[in-house]
Amino acid sequence: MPTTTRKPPRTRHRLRRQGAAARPPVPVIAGRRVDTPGRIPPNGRGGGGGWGGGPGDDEARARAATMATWMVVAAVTLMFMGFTSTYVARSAEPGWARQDLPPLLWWNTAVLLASSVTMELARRRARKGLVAGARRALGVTTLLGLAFVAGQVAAWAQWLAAGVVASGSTHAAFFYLLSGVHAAHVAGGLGALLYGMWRLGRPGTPAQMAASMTNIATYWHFVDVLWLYLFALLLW
Amino acid sequence: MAHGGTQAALAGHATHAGHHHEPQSFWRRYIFSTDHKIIAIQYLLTSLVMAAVGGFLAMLMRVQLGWPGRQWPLLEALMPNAFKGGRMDPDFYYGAVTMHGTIMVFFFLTTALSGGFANFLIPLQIGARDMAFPVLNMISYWLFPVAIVFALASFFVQGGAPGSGWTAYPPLSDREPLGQTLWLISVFILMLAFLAGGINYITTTLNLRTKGMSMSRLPLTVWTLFVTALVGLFAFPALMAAALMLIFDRVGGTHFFDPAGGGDPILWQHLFWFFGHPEVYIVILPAMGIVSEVLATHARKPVFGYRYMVGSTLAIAGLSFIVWGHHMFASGMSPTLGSMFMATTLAIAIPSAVKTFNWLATIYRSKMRFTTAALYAVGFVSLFITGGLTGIILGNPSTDLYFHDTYFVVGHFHFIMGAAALFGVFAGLYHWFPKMFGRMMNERLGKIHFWLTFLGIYGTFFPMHFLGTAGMPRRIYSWEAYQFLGDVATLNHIISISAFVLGAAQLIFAFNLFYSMFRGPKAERNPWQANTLEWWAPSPPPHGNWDEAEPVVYRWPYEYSPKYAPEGVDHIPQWLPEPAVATAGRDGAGAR
Ligand code: HEM
Ligand SMILES: [Cu+2]
Repeated sequence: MPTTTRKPPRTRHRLRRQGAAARPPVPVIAGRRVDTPGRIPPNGRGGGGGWGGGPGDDEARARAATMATWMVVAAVTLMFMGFTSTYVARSAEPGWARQDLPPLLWWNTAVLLASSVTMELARRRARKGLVAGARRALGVTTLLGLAFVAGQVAAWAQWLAAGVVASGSTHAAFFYLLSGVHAAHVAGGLGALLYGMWRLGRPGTPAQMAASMTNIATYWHFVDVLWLYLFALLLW
Repeated sequence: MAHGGTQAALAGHATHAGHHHEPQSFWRRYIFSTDHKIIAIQYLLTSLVMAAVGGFLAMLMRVQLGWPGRQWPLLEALMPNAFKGGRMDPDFYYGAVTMHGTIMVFFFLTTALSGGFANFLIPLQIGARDMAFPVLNMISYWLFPVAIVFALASFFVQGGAPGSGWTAYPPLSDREPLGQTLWLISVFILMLAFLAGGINYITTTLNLRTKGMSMSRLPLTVWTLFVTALVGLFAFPALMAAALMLIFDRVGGTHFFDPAGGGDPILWQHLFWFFGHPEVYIVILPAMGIVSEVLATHARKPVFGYRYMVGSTLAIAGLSFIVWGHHMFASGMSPTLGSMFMATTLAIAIPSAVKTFNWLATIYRSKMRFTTAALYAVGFVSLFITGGLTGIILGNPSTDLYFHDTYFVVGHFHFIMGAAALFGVFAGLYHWFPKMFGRMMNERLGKIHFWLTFLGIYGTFFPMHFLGTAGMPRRIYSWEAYQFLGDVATLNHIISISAFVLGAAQLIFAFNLFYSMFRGPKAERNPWQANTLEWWAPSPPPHGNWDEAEPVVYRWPYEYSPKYAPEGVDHIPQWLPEPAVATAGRDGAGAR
């Protein structure tokens, strides 16, 4: 039971204040004075806790946000891989009939592509610190995104009016499923765009602005590419 | 607990006054909290309530299977709809089977481990102040009760709970009444919750480690919880896709899986098991991490083969994605494909054996302190060995064709997943309770709880292997109707009685838990004299975890009984600057 110490263990704050050369307090183990080399292992990454304060925290948070964005992209990709594998298996079965998709989808695709261009514009402007211009570009992106979702709904209406229902054929079922789940993800992206506009109105360095714009752009370009993929799959 | 308060002194970190935490309302503090520790406790307590519900359903199932056809007037009085005319209603029985499995796998084991322990341990053990995204963390928890409401509501809607089992195979799940749709929605919401949680665990582990906490110094709990989150990130979307298609089938009139409309039910099985096999590892990997940690601490020995423990965790996680076909050997797959799935399946036995031998080597010639947590950890190893051996039998298509969908499979997965993961949860709860609540649990009650549980588990699940060899199918309501099963009556009585003992034993645990939470003796900072960072924080740690600055890490987490330490020192915590008594150049990190 004999272990005691006189001083609290060294903390990072103290380290910062004293510099690396300073001797930390000497703990006593088992009644003996134990000298401390004061060596910080070189392999420690260390990010600082997510508790505000120091610059390390912001960096760590920015890294975490970028990672989180890519993980969302990965998870959504995997879900659509699940749909795809079923699609491929079912389309190889006898009785598979492909119907012509509503022509409106071509227009919707163009709108979505255009929105990626304006998104990119927003991202570049934010990086240069042109906050007002970035907000305008984000606003246009949001409107184009809304137009895309509205266009998809109109395409469904067209197909339904033509009597093509989800229960009619597996191809039709996949069209409603894939475009519907995709549209839901675009709607999520619209939320991210609104958040981006709010974020640009708040204080922050150009680097921080650019970092969060990059994450939003990553997701937005992703749903764009995802739609190109789905459209090709359904056409093919 | 008798081991003195010296470690607290060694930690020697007087609580500093002058904390700048605003007083928070009860709601912000305990209900809509963004503090990872509160969220962890919310997850744990909610999942324990669900375990009680799932356990109650299991008891009802054993009532039926132990004495099929008998009248239960008392139960009828309690649950008139489930026991019409005193006998259990077959539809209710199948609803109970489905909900028992669903609740235990998703709502108890996954949430307790990946919701409760991940939330509690990751920030504390890596020296962070909270998760990377605290609000997302809160949302992750609150999706969980929403999912529970959907799942339990199915008991009360027209047609009752779904009867298609936790695997929800079509065409049965394509036909079932409303409850099946609720089940699918519930599972979908729960997957969203897990994904939100998982993103937090991964980003936090990678970005918020404190100074000195390299990946090669992470405690094995953090390693396994981190890898588990990665497994979930890749596995959950498959089930979400499948669930959406099944919902479409059910409410949209499509025929993705329904053979009546040209659909293919086998596709569901592929998607389900592509998710489902990794899912079983999602519950066992964190339990493995907890057990490694608890064994080392209470055996006062370094974990044997730290690097191999990490490597086998990664290997198991990777392999778990290419074995799903072993659940479908009997679905008419080609023998070539079957052999391939057999090969990958049996390959998992290798990293599993590595882990098992490392645990045994950690225990071997140790000065184990047999606390309740340690007993549960040792019990885990025993259960894992038993269940792993029957897994190898099932991994061979030739034997599996006989055992598939018999009670042999039920015995297998209850040992390895049900019971072993449960033991992991208990080991973790008894071990970290002092840190969570600042009080000690009662060890005497804990040991009684352990022994009754341990014997109850073996008594309940071991005989199930014999039921399987006798040919008794799983998910059967009235086995007595089959003549060739006539002689399993005795076994079924034994199993049911053991199950009731097992269930009753959990009441002791519930009492101990809640009593100790409020009345237990106050815990010190580091009652087990452990090395990981959470024991440096006060018990329980404040919001923000560390009093003034995050701790700095100097070595790996398993420096127990080091040879170079002075007399009377049997462990050197991660946060303590390296003593000069260490032999020159010796670095605590890495395997030994
Ligand atoms: C040595 C390792 C293992 C092998 C070779 C193995 C093999 C198998 C096989 C072949 C089956 C399918 C049996 C059938 O349905 O006919 C099965 C079922 C199952 N195994 Fe394992 N297993 C192993 C470890 C595990 C682990 C570690 C867990 C969980 C933590 C687990 C959980 C399950 C579950 C839940 C089922 C039943 C699923 C169901 O049909 O409801 N197994 N195992
Ligand atoms: Cu499996």
